[in-house]
Amino acid sequence: MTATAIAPRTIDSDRYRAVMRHLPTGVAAVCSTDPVTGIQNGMIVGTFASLSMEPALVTFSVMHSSTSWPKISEAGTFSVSLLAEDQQQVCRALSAKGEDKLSSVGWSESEWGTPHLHGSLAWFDCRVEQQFTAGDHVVVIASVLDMTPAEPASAPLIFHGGRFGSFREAA
Amino acid sequence: MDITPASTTALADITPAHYRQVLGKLPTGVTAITGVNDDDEKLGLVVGTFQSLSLDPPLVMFCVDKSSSSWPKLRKLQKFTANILSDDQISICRSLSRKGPQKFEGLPCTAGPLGTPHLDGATAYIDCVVTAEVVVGDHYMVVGAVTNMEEGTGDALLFRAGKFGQYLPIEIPAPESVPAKQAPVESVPARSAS
Repeated sequence: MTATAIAPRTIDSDRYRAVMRHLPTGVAAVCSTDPVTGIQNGMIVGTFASLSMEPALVTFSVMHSSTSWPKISEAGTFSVSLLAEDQQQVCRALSAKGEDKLSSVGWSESEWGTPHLHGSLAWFDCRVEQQFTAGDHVVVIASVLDMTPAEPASAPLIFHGGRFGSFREAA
Repeated sequence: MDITPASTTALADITPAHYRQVLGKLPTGVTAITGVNDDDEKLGLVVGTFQSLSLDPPLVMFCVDKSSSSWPKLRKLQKFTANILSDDQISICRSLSRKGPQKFEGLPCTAGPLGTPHLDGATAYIDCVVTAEVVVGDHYMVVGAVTNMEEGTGDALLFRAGKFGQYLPIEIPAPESVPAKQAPVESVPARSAS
């Protein structure tokens, strides 16, 4: 299934980025362990979102040219670690190219066999249910096998206007 | 088209309350989806799931609860504006989140290029034509093809754990070995939407 655009006016990528940078996003690490090699794969997404409560589903999208996602999804079961404000280094480590990106990051294996990154706000264990292409991205729909909030709660990492930040409650 | 998984494999018992509690940890922007019908009735709903999707072609997406009474009316128009709300638009968010008609009454707005309402004071406007919609679980997932985008004013409104908020820049502490005056500027983070 492919969603095609009907765009009467050309919007170049600079304009798209300039306007969409006004939308703040959370930062999530999507990770799994390769069942054959035992090596962890991971990537960062700024599009993780809630989708459905019944059944429990979440979604995110990833560039269709991503080399990380095919490796992560091959494991079948993967984790989403929602990053806290002091996990910028984790974000940078997983955004970099290369193998074994979790080697410099603290994590533990969950009962689902997925890596949970230490210090995160919450962890989701997920299974890929559907994927479809929309433009230059793939939309992933995943069922939630389990979801766990961290105790005590800490502040979230937020990406906004090209910078990292956190959340300040409105007065 | 319904693409709800035939049988999800959720072994843990994830109640709606637990789902809300854990996903409440995720900070989101607040976006008003607006349109106007042939009777000049302005329609609007608020979502926390508006996302960038594709650069080429330019696409965006959002998810809306099946129980929404506004979306069936907006869907008929097949076009909408996504207004990314600013941190002084909490009252507008509350107005548009109400159930029932006339929730748009008194909200200052101007018509965008598609004729859809641009709420005055939003931080960005993304005009779209609906290009795909699928049913997934208890929500509709809507994909919009972007026809126009404009920057507005102010800074974005945030929502998290049931509370409104603002973006708080993180001050990067200077390494101890570097005198404060020569503290490095924050390095540009890698794009997080890859």
